[in-house]
Amino acid sequence: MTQTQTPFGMPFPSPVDFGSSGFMGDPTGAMKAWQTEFETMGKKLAAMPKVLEAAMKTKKGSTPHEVVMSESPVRLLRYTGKSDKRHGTPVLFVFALVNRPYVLDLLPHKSVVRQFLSAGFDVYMMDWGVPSPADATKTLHDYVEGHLHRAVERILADTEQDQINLVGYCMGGTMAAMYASLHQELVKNLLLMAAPIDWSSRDSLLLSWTDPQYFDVDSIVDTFGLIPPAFLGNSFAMLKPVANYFQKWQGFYEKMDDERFLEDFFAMEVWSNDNIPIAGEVYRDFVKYGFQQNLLVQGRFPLGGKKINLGNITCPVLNLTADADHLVLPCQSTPLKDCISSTDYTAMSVKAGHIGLSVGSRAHKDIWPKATAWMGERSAPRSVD
Amino acid sequence: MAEPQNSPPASGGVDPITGFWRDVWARSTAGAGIPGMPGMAGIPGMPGMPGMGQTGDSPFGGAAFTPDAMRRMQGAFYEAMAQYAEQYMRSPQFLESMKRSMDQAMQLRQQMDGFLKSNMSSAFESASGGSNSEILGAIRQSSAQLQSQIAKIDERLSDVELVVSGKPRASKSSAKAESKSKPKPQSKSQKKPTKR
Repeated sequence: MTQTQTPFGMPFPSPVDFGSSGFMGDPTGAMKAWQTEFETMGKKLAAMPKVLEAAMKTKKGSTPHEVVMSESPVRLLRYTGKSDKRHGTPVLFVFALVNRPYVLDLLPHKSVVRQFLSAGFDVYMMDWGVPSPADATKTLHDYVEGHLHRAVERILADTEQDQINLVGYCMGGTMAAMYASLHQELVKNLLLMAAPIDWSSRDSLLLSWTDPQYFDVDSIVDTFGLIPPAFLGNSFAMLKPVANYFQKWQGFYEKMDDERFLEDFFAMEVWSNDNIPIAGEVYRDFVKYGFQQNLLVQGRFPLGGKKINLGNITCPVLNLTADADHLVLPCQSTPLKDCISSTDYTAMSVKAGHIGLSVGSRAHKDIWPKATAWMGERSAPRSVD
Repeated sequence: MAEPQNSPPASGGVDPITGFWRDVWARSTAGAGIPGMPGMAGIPGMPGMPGMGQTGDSPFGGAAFTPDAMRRMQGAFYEAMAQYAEQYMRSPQFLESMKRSMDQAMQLRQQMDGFLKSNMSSAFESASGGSNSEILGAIRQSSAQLQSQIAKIDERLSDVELVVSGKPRASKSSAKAESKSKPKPQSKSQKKPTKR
């Protein structure tokens, strides 16, 4: 591929061959094409009421659930969708602390929760809730050894099981791995989705931005207490500014007369703008010991009075990554294999982005049926009373 | 368009801003598959591209821009912009400006907190955010200490109950808790079983 050098030294790839159709010549054809374009534009404008209707109909989460435990603001949800429960070992989803967990149950046809329900699991979800100023001093230890551990104990008591299946997504995956390393005897299987474990790669923009030379996490936490949701939301959006601020809206315009697209689009928009603050101390722990010092893979990540040793993990592990993930690069997740002691380790990857792993149609078609089957094979069967 | 006299020329004698837009433009048109573009020869540093504006065989002065071609051009433009944005956001210049912005935001917040703490709270005789944080911190510390003590008592109680009932431990977690627990006055526990 030939490349052009720019004044900033960045090489451009050679022009892509888009085919020969319609850029030069044949003015009549061009006029017709524009006429069609204006007609399409008119149809899109006429679709505006449908757009508003779709926006108004958007809900948060799609599967019915009940709250089985509440420790304000944290709640433990149990999904009550109808399914033939075949597996005894329950599944607990552990989502990140920086967004709401209903992305795992966004829409009926894009619900990871429903995939597990359909596969015959009892499904629970940690809803970390929206932290208030009273939660600003909560540490990662409070979340992992406090809320998460009590939720696991509650689920085990309710289901009369000895072990649980943990599914952790993004930062929740890191927390699930930490929990498994501390309570391996309670974890039957560990499934991680785009979970950052190793922060040594400098390819991620987030890692550049949190460079200690430019980012004083201590001052930020000491000043703000709770890390404002707008700060986190804008940081994530700025990772792909052109895609998030321009291309997304162009894509919306192109497909705004498609009702199914509108349903998906607004569900994602509602979720991605539903940012919540994060407890400052958790943020400090994660940025300092993870992003800046990369202590987890070294077995030196402090949690409470202990150091997290991922080598304590001996259960079967399924590590899912997304090829086009710009938030947690696959190279940040895959080193897990070398840190744990499990002999049953499986890695799967899907052509998707960070969120595409949970809501992408390719993931739901290719990855989740395999992932639920993987977990089903390794779970205890449901006892018949 | 006049070039700024003090701006250093970039590669090819073009100032960086013009050079940047020329690259994006070239990339966009090339990406769209358009071999030449008119009207750029008059702009310093933006060379005219052959093949456009001379033939007169289209109502658009030589190039029949179809919506499809425009879309491809737009896609290529976005791609070029995304690459530049990524490169810029990794640069020390951006990181320095980010640091300055954060410092200013923190300074503003500290000033606001200080003002509210010193003036507003005394004027309205109400607790400020700062004093709330201090109180919450103290409560959390006490809560953590209490939880720790209760956990220890719970462990000891479990041990006592097991000794009284004479049953083996049910789960590994209990066993782990047992191994962690400190030596207890067994004789005393056995003599006085806890009533629930």
